[in-house]
Amino acid sequence: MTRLAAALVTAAACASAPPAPEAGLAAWPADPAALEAHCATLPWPELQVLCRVQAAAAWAATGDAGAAARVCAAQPAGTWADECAFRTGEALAGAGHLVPALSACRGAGWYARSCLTHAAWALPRAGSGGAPAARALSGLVEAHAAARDALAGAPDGLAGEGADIAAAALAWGLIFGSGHADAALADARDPWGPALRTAWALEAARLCPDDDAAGLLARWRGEAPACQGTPLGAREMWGAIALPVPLEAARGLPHLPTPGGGQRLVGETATEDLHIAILEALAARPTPARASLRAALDDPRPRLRMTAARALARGGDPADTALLAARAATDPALRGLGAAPPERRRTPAREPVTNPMQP
Amino acid sequence: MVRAAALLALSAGAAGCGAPPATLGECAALADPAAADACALDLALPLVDDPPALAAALATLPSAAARDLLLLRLAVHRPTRAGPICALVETPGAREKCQQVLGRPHLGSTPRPPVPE
Repeated sequence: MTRLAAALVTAAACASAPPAPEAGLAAWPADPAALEAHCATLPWPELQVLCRVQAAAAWAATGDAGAAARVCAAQPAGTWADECAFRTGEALAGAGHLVPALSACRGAGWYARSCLTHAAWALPRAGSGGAPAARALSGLVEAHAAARDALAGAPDGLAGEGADIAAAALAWGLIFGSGHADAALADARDPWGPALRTAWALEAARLCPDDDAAGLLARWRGEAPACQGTPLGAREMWGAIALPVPLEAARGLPHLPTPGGGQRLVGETATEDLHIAILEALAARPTPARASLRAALDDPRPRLRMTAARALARGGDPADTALLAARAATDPALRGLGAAPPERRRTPAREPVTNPMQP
Repeated sequence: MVRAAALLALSAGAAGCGAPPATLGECAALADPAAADACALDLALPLVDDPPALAAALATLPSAAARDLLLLRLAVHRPTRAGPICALVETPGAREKCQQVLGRPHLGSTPRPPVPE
């Protein structure tokens, strides 16, 4: 064999040397640019897919939506492209970039709805900055208009639902966690009223932990001092998530998105809505105000009874369970209490994905 | 002479004579890395719904890293089965990367398509 032939054999052998598996399991760089470059060097397409999701999220966390989109564009269509957009939307929102976050979520395919929810509630709470109510509200309107524009034309009801979630999250961020449950900020006309009342009630319930429903109502009316205390960090969470009301009578009634991806019923009037918001806030406390919730089971307004029943049912207290069972037998508004939550999506199930790498 | 040497070089990367690989260990022995990877995936993917069979097949691989790398690749292909797949990983690096799938519960459920307008 000549020297050239020997060199060819050696070259072929070297070219076919398998990459060490350890190379695929080693830690990845944290810096977005380094991570993106690293993804391209991984010899296994599956690891490239995982790596790109992480790289896109890392870029998005810096606010660079373009770089994140560039990374996601290299994903195979399907599950992992959707996941890439999902992580991008979440990370952009977490960095305070709502509009690009919503745009990213539009591209999250099957996960678009979840992405919108995660993104909206991941926004750092802005607070009012001490602005008077009118100015704070005009800021909300402006931010919400931008969010609506970002979602305009999105399919599958995403435009409306996403805009609603964004509105609720923006309103929440104005009051909740500020350390001051300012009723003046929350006393707005629709469509902002329900979201602002939710934010106010949660902040008041947090800052005045001993108040019951009557106590919080007195503070709303100005009959007692406003609740004040320690502000929360911009991303610090508090309270239990309000799960959907699993009652037949609640189907078709207007609901409002609430922090963390929950929802609550909206009242027929501003006053009823305030009472519902207060009940929800009392239920969200680490130790729910059971006496107020039990008392609301006797309220003549069905939406209050449904709200209270749902909260008590979640608590799992045996006495409450027995009480609710008795009420459910006689109160049409509480029929079906304890049944599985209604199906929230209206789409048929898709066949299981067998290979998201090759859709 | 040169062409003969090139042919020799290429044949050195071939799978060899006889039956196609029947175990993951035999896949790993293939000289062509791409062929070895494809072979392993072809053999392992049908076993994803049968964790004991998958574990037995993995036992023919020479190292924990090789087993974990394949498991990670399987989890990406079948994220709805990532739970039982990732339960088999042994190394910290694989565990950390598995979290990228396990930590995203929606990946573990059967996705539903959006409804067109």
